[in-house]
Amino acid sequence: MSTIKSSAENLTLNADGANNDVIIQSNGSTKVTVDGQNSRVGIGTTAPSEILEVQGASGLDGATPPTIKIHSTSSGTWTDNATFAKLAFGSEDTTGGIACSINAFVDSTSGNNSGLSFYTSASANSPTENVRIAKDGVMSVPNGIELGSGLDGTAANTLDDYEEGTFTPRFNTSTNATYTHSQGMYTKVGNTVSVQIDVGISAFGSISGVINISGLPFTTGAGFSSGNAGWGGNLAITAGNIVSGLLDASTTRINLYVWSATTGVTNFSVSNLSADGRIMFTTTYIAA
Amino acid sequence: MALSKETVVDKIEVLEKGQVQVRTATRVMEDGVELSSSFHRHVVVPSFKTGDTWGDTDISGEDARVQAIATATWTSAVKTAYQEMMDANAI
Repeated sequence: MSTIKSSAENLTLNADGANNDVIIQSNGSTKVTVDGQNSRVGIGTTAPSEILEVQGASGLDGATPPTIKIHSTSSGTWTDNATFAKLAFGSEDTTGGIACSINAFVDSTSGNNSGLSFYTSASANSPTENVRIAKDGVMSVPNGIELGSGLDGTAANTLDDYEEGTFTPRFNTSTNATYTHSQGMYTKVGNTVSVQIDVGISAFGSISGVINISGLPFTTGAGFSSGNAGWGGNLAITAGNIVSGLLDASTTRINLYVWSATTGVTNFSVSNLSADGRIMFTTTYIAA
Repeated sequence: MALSKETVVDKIEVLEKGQVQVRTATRVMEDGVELSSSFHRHVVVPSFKTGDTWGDTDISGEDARVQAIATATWTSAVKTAYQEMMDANAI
């Protein structure tokens, strides 16, 4: 092995003269070129077209793609969410700091579990994590995804919420009735809430008068929505009549009605519900 | 390998008219790492109407943080505004 070594002072490798390159070869083949005329570095190329260019044959099957690796030499038990490698971007406007970055992080205490984070800046030197891809592939975008409206972040085109869950529907908010069924499921996509309700009783408790279904998971918006009961059990209504519901603004209830071809629309009341009535109801509404 | 389950109020949202939307998360953990979670929601309103009479909402059964937020939010003005809105929207 031959070594070029400087122990007492800096070592300069200088292709002296205008536009001369510094070339590193192996076995007569050029591996690294410092382009003196354009101040560029080429790895695998003698004519780099950018400040740093790396060339290599990927193979048409993609088996050996040219790869730049940023490798952490740390190992062991990690702090969850610790950044172990990072590709950063900046400009002089950020006074030498970082404007944006792509961070690789440990997604548990094991270095074998990792994800990617994308940081962007809305002010100088304060990049904020705005997109994360977790170890299991779930992508988190806290501020939403704009769809079909270019790249301007239009609020009306931004999907910024999705949630699934349950709620507890009641008749007239009554908690002292005896409920045989009281299950609600919801899915919220953006500002739209879809609910499936199954509520039934075996004793009225304090329920009286006109009946509504209360306990919706999100307050309704300014507009009105409606829906129909898809199934009913032990209801005291005339065959052929329909139980429908109206969701008025800024509430968490569905006002129930009976639609009759002969008598028109009337409130759905305790006499219609009967002491062992049950209703399954599905509707979609806009949340506040 | 220790399995555990926790139920926490993980999101509290206050709307313009004082409604407090509460999300409760139930999480199943293994050695502190979340295996699964599910949400349950309910809404607490500033005022409650029985018949034709408005009264205060009973929040004694709510999570302490929900109680604190509701108590701080539900001023007389907020309650009145909510009642007026609901009466105006009544069908």
